[in-house]
Amino acid sequence: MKPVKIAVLSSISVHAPNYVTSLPVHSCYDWLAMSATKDDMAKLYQGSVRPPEYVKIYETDEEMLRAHPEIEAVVLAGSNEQTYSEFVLCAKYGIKNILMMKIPTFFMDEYDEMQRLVRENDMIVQIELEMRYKQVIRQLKELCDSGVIGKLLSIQINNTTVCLPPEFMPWVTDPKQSYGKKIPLRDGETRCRGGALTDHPHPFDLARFFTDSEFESVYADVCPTIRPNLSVEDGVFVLGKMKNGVIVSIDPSYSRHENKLPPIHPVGPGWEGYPKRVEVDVVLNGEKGSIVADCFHLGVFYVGLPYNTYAFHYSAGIAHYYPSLDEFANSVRNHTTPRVNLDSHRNTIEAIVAGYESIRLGHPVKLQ
Amino acid sequence: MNFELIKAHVWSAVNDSSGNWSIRGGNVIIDGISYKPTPWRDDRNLNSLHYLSVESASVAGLCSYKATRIEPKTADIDELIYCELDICRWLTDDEIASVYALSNSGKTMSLMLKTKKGILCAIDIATTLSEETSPIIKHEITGTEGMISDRCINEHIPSKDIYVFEDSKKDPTTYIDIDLYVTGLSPEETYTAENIIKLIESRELREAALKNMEKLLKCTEAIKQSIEIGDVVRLEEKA
Repeated sequence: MKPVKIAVLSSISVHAPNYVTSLPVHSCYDWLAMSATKDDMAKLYQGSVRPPEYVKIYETDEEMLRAHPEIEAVVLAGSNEQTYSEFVLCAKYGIKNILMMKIPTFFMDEYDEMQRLVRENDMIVQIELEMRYKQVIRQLKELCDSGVIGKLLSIQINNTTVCLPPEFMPWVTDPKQSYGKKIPLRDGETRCRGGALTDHPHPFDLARFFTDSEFESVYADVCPTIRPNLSVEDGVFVLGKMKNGVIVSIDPSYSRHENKLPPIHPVGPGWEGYPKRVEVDVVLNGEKGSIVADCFHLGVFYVGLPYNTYAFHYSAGIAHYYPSLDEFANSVRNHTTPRVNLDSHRNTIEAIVAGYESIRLGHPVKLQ
Repeated sequence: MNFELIKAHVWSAVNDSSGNWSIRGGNVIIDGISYKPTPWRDDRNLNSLHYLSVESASVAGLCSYKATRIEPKTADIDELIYCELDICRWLTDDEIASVYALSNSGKTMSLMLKTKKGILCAIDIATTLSEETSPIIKHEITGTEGMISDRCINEHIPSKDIYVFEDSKKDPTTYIDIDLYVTGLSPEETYTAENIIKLIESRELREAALKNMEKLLKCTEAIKQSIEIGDVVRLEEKA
């Protein structure tokens, strides 16, 4: 396959470093350029996470797109707030192939506009939901479909993680940059939308994937803030119902505590307080049995530098990014629709928005 | 559970002047009043959770609570709900203020609760396992200064303390490190017996148990109502 000429925009997404390390070694891509401010380059892209010398760095997206009309595809790796404007910018510059992070936008008028641009400009858009490419998830789907536990009755998915400290990645816990607008969780509440529920769409996507159904209703609520100075939600539970009757219980919380010492850069093992930085646990209950799965189980434990805390080192690394990049390249070259695209992802975003509305209203919310 | 064994153990342990008592249908009748035992409050691990979350406040301000219980298909889901509701109240040291519940086929139920102090709780229950399978149970409490759980990281099925791998068998025989085997009772039977002994011997505990049962009854009614109407039910409104 002729390598796809690709560029990375903004480069401040939590997953952007994964592309910086995987694009240079992926034979389907010819990585031309990335845009990132000088501050972000200094903070995020040093040492083993530095892009190769041949990748041209630009301070702004527009400067980069103007300088490289040969770009065929882009990775939108900015904040959630930036994604929509970057998408529109890329469409303006005739870029037809976009790999974007998990939150296109929470505003349905913008979502409608993005879908319109895709249709009218015949674009290929893939959403980076990398969990779909993990072997354990594929195995769980096969087991569900095989009927080994019978008809699915209920699902529990925990996607519990640490919360990135604002000094390391400020946009993640800034309501406007994370959610797109500063909207209080409810009347009289100082915390705003944009926290754990925004950051963890995977459980919603996996619930739809395992059940082959869509969300019918969602009830969500927040707990008292775990971290005193956070301006977004960190502890939140969701209880939903799928159209086919399956109950879905989701915990997307930032309930795994960070180390209170100053964080090291880049973030690495030992930085955590709770030993395991990311957890995705799945329980599937069916008429004939149950499945219990840990999707981040493969790893080792150690106590060592830099903090001498007990930490879990995940062994599979970013291996699941390669199948995702394979699919995107194939979709670009063969002009096929990726499995997770703007159209298919919409119900996940709608379910998250319904979750926030439920928090605001104090009642379950039915999706349209 | 073998209530004959439990009865024999209780009989040998209680003080003779404790009065009239009998065990019927899983409840203990003392001086004509029926009490529902709460053996989980004598469970060693749950007592450790209680010590860490409430008595020593080792995670400071409580924020959220989660419980998962997957049991054999012969288990009574209403009994499991009752048990986990009480554990939730006990480990958060708080009362339930609102419930939202979903149920599917009578075999699975998921609850979201809020306590009076605002602690957010999720309880997920299923009765889907084979009769021979041991229950899968997990409790987790998150506070401002950390989290507590009766399952280790990467441990989703309760592990055992002794594994005997015989060359003639595929699966090991397992044992847990609790000195309860000497009585011939299982851990659950022992906790039930201990709980009944305490009820028989303490009037104060019996009075507290009656108040506890009343509150739990209100919670279980609220859960049924929530499932019926498909909405949140606030317990203050019910009172």
